[in-house]
Amino acid sequence: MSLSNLFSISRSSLFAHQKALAVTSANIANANNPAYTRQVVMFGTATPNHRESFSFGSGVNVDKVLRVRNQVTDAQIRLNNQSYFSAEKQAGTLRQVESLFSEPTELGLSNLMSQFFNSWDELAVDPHSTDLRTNVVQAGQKISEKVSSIHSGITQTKTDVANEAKNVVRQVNTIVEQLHTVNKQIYEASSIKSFNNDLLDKRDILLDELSSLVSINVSIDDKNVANVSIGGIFATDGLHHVEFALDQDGDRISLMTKDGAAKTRLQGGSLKGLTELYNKDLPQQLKDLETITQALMENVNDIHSKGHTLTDPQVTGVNFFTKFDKGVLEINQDILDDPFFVAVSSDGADGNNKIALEIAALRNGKLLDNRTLAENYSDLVSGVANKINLQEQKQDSYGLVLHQLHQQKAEYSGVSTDEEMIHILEYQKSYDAAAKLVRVADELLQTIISLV
Amino acid sequence: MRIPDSFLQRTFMRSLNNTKSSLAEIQYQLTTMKQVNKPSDNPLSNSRIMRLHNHLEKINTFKTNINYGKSMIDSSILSLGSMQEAMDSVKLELTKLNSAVVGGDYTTFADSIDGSLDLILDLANSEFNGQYNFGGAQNGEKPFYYDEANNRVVTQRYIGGDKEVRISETIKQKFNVAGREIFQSVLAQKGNLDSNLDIGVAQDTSSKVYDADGNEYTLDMRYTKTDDNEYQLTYDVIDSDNNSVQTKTITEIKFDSITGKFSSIGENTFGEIKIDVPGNKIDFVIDVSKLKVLDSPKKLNETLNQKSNIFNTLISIRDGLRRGEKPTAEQVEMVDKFNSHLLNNMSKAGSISNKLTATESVINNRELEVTELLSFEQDVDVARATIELQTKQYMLDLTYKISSMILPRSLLDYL
Repeated sequence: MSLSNLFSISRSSLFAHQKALAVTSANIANANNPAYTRQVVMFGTATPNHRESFSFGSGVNVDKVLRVRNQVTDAQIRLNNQSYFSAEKQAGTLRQVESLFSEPTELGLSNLMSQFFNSWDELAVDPHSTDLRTNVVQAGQKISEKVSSIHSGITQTKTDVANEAKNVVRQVNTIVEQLHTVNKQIYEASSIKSFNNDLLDKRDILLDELSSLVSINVSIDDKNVANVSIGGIFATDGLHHVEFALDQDGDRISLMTKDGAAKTRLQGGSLKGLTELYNKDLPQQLKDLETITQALMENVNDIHSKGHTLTDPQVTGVNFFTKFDKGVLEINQDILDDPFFVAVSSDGADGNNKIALEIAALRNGKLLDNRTLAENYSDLVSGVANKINLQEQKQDSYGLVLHQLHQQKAEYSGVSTDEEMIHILEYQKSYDAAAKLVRVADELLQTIISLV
Repeated sequence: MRIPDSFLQRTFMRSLNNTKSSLAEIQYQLTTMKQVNKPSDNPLSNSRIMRLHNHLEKINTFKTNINYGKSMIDSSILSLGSMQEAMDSVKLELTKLNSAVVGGDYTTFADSIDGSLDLILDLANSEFNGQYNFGGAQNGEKPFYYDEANNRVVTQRYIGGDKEVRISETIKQKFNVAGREIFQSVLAQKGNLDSNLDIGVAQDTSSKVYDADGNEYTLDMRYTKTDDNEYQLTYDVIDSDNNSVQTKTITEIKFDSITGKFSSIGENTFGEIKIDVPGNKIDFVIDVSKLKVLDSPKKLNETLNQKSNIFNTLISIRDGLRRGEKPTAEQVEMVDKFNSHLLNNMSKAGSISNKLTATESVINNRELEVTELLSFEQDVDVARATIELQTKQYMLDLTYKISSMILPRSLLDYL
């Protein structure tokens, strides 16, 4: 072994620890970057020199820079992401719908329906009173306005949901395309045995993002390329990727491949939440509201049309509501123009109040599914409220699981500045030692030279 | 276990968010003073609150109706009371007439009776809130007026019919005294017509009716079947000398095909047939509204509530006095009977007023109960919420303090 080997060994140590310091610096720099995975330098012994029967160490190498990642935790995070974001989207949108009902306040439809029936009871006391007749008309108008406001609110929410779903699909396509590009880069890097930790980080963050939008299945091959499918349909790998589109078929939306060849079956993600809202929840709420309003209109009209107005001449066969169409409950224009068109009398006697009492009694009538209108409406509101609670509970429970999974991930992959500072001290000392060794080697060489 | 920097930050942020979100919730509850502000706060409570709100609204309506009904019936009672005083005055005059000291000129008595008549007529047309107390169901028009040409008081139109209001979930309460119950002579037709009779076959019945002076007449009535569930009535008013005073046929008396109950007479659904013979001072109504057509016929019979319209009896007495004639025993009896009739109706009206007062009291109690239940479901427990708010505030302060002490620290601070 020659003296110059000392320089070689020192140089390998200097280079290795310089690299290690660079990795540690990158770790510290990314301590607050959630997309970053901490990296660890794996040192390896340089190939020793064999002379005669001896073996002399030749220094240290950086074998690889390891990305500390737990694939099982990653898969769990993606799985729970899907459920969490589906629940979050549904709860958030349903909270908007809930606010449309204005319950439990005096502005809610429940109270307005009660006021409407009560106004008939009050009119029964004094059928001549213009004020009480106007009160009935105004109570009817309030119901009409509230029904219209809830109906148009839910319809608008449905439109917003469809638009948001289109945006989500655009995001999905962008992410799938990015994944495809990253996959290719990873494949190329792995083929030249280059470290590709940052690309892997980029890929993982894209997968996490994608899992918040749609349900995905991911398998990683031996080249670290992610093969991704969305709702059972192939999305991307290292060679190809598929573009998706939102299919709007009548009153339903679904995610399909852009060429229309395959339809996905989403299990989670915010798009799943949006399709559930669009296809199921919102149409059902609209239908329930329409059924209740239709029943109110038909039952009031059935009785009202039998009564006599207080106009001159008296008229019978007048409907209180003229039609209910597309969420608009129309009150008879004659009644709006002249409250004496409100029919209160069953026999034409101007003080007869039988019709008013009969309409007021509808309040307790089992008009729909053997239940009162108020009970049916209460079911509708409770249905929305229960659904919100269910989705919020899901959101809380998946949120807690996600929090724990992220903590687990942080345990593995998160950067601890304390730990990194200790590494810096270690590497600095090793670097100092290597530099010292160069000086020792230099002194040794000087000693030899001085002998000559 | 490794504790990286993000671990502490994440845990801190989550705890901070949890504390702040529960703090915000309690603050919102305290500012609104309600623990349920939207259905999803508590769907079950929300349903109860909506139901209780509706219940309170109904109670308020019942209370409004009761107040109105009570005011109207009290106004009627007041008028009846004054009427009763006027009738007492009439009775006093009639008593004086019978005393030995009175003789010859009865003008003063006639004027006094005339004054009472005016007062009673005025009271019979008394109003409450623009409605005639004794106008029956159709109480927007004045019920009685003096027909100068025929020297009699005429009933404008149908003055029967109950006015009812709902005063609880199940109770509808009448709150008027119809003029027909007090002032009119009503012959109520009872019994059932035989539905098995062939078309053209008739059923006969007969009754006694009276003029304003108390003279008796015979009323013969013949119901002839003209179609399924349709009849015509031919009546004949015959005086004591067996002369027909008035005969008439009323057609299209219709009955409900299912229930057999009276349905209408032409356009008229009241079931009232007015018999008016001014020349004979005859003025009464036949009420067929309780008549039925059934396959189990009951014998036809009639009930007369009072012999004559009191106004015309008083006019007849007054005019007799002006002519120097003392009232007949029949006329005095009719005045007495009307007085009792008036008292009975006052008593009925009083019981309606009492019932409304009693119901109001029950409803007030119910309102208290429902308000208490609503408060229990909806209102926030201020003491509990305030203590919770303080605790959460304390926790938040503590979290901030600890975070300021721990979070920024690392090995770097000591190197």
